[in-house]
Amino acid sequence: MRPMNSLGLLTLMATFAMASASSIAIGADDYTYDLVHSSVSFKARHLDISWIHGRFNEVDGKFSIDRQDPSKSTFELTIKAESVDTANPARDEHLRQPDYFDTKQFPTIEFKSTAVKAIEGGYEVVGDFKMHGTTKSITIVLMGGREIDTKGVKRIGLSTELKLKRSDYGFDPKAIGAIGDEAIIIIDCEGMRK
Amino acid sequence: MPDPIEFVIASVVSTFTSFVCVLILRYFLPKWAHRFSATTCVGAVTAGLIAGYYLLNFSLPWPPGDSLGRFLLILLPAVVALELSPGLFGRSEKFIWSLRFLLCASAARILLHGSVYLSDEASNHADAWSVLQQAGFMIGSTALLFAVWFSFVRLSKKSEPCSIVFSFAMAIQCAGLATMLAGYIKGGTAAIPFAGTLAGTAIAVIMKKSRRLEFDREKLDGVIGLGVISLFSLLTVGRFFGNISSWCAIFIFLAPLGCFVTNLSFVKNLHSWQIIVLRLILVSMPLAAIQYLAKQEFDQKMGPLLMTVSRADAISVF
Repeated sequence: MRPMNSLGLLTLMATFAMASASSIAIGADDYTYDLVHSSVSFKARHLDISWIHGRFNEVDGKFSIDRQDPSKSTFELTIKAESVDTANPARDEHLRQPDYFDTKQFPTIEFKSTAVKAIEGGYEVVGDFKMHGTTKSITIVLMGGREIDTKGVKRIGLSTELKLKRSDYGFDPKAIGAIGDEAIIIIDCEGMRK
Repeated sequence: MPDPIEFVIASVVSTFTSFVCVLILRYFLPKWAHRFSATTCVGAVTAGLIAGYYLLNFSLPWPPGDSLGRFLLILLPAVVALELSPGLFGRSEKFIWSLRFLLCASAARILLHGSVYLSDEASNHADAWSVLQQAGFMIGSTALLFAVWFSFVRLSKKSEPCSIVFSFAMAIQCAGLATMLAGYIKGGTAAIPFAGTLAGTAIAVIMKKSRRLEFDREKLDGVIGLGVISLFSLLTVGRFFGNISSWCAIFIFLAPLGCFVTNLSFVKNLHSWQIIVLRLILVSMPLAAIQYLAKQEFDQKMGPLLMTVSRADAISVF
C-alpha cells in the first residue's frame, strides 16, 4: 500500500475539520443580548435594616446554546460598571469611585462560562466572574431557555440570582459597614437570533 | 466608615513617631556621621508613615490593583530608596538628579497604569486618551513635577527649609480632605499619615537645629522630595480616580509655591521664625479657600443625601 502523501493528509484533515465545524453550527444557537428587554439589577443591605436597589444600564453579552449537547453551550456577559444607576446621581457618582467600583480602573464586570450542564428548567453554569480586578469561579443557575418566535426573530429568556460578598472581590473593607458586604445580583435577560 | 477619632490618633502617632525618630537618631549619630542626616530624616518619615498606616488598618493587596496601591507600594518605596541613597552611598548630585528625573517621568505612568485613560482605542472607552493626549500628559506632568521638586530643593538650600516641609504637610492634608469630601474616603485617608509625619520631622529639625546651618538644609532634601512626590500622587489619584476637579488639584499642588514670596527683596532679611510664619500664612490662605469650596461642593452634592445622617458618618453613608 502506498503511503499517503502530505497533500492527501491535509485534505483529509480539512474534511474532518469542516465536518466537525458544521456539526457545531447545526447544534448550537447563537444569541445576542437584547438590552431593551433585559436587566441586570442588584440590591444590598443598608445599615442592616433595609435594601438599596440599583441596576446597570449598559450591558452586553452573547450566548450560544447547544440543545443536543448542553456542555458545549457558552454564556458571556459584560457589564459597564460606570452605568450603575440607583436613581440618585450623587450616590451613583460615589459608587463609581475607588471605594466601590473604581470604574476608571476596572471599567467592566464580566462573566464567562467555563462549564455548562442542563438541569431541570434551565442550566447550571460554572464560570469566571471578574469584578473590581478580581476573578473568581462561581456557579450560577440559569432558569429558562424556552425559545419562541416573534415576527421572524427567535427569542429566549434566562434568569438568575446570585449572592456575592464584596469583600471577596477586593472592595475596601472600610467601605463595608453602612452598606452590607453581601450583594444580590439579579439577571433577567433575553437573547435573540434571526 | 470614616472615624474622625481614628484619623486624629493616626495623625498624632505619625507626627510623634517621626519626631521621636529624628531626635533619637540625632542623639545617636556621632558628629562624623552627619552625612547620614538626610537618611535619618527620610527614615523618620518612613517610620511615621508605617505607624500611621498601621493604626488606620490600611489594607493593600500585592500586586497593587489600583492607583493608590501603586503609589504606596511602588512609587513611594522607590522615592524612599532614592532619597536614602545619597546619605548611604554618597552619590554625586548629578546622578541623584538624573534618578529623580526618571522617577518624575515614570510617576504618572505608574499611577495611571491599567486605567481607562491609557487603554487602547479598541477598548472604545469614552475616557480613553489618544496617543497624543497620553504623550502630552506624561511630558507635562514630568516637566511640572521635576520643576517643582528642583525649585523647592534649591529654595531649601538658600533659605529656611522646615517651613517648606510644613507647607507640603498642609497641602497634602488639604488634598486628602478635598479627595474625601469628593467621595473617595480611602484616597483621602491615605494623606493623613503623610501630613503628620512631614510635620513631625520638620518640628524635630527646628527643635534640634544644628549650629552648622548646612547640616539642617541638606538633611531635609529627601523629605522635600517625599513631600513633592506624595502631593503629586495623592492629587493624581484624587483627580483621575476620585472626583476632585482639575482646578482644585492644580491649585493645591501649586499652593506651596507661596514659599517663594520670601525671596522678594523686602522680606529677604527676616528672621528664620518670621520666614516660617509668613510662608505658612501665604500657603495656608489658598488652601483654606480651596477647602471652603470643596466643602461647599460637598454640601451641595451630598447634602440632600445626608439629611438624617450624623456628620461623622456623613461621607460614607448614602
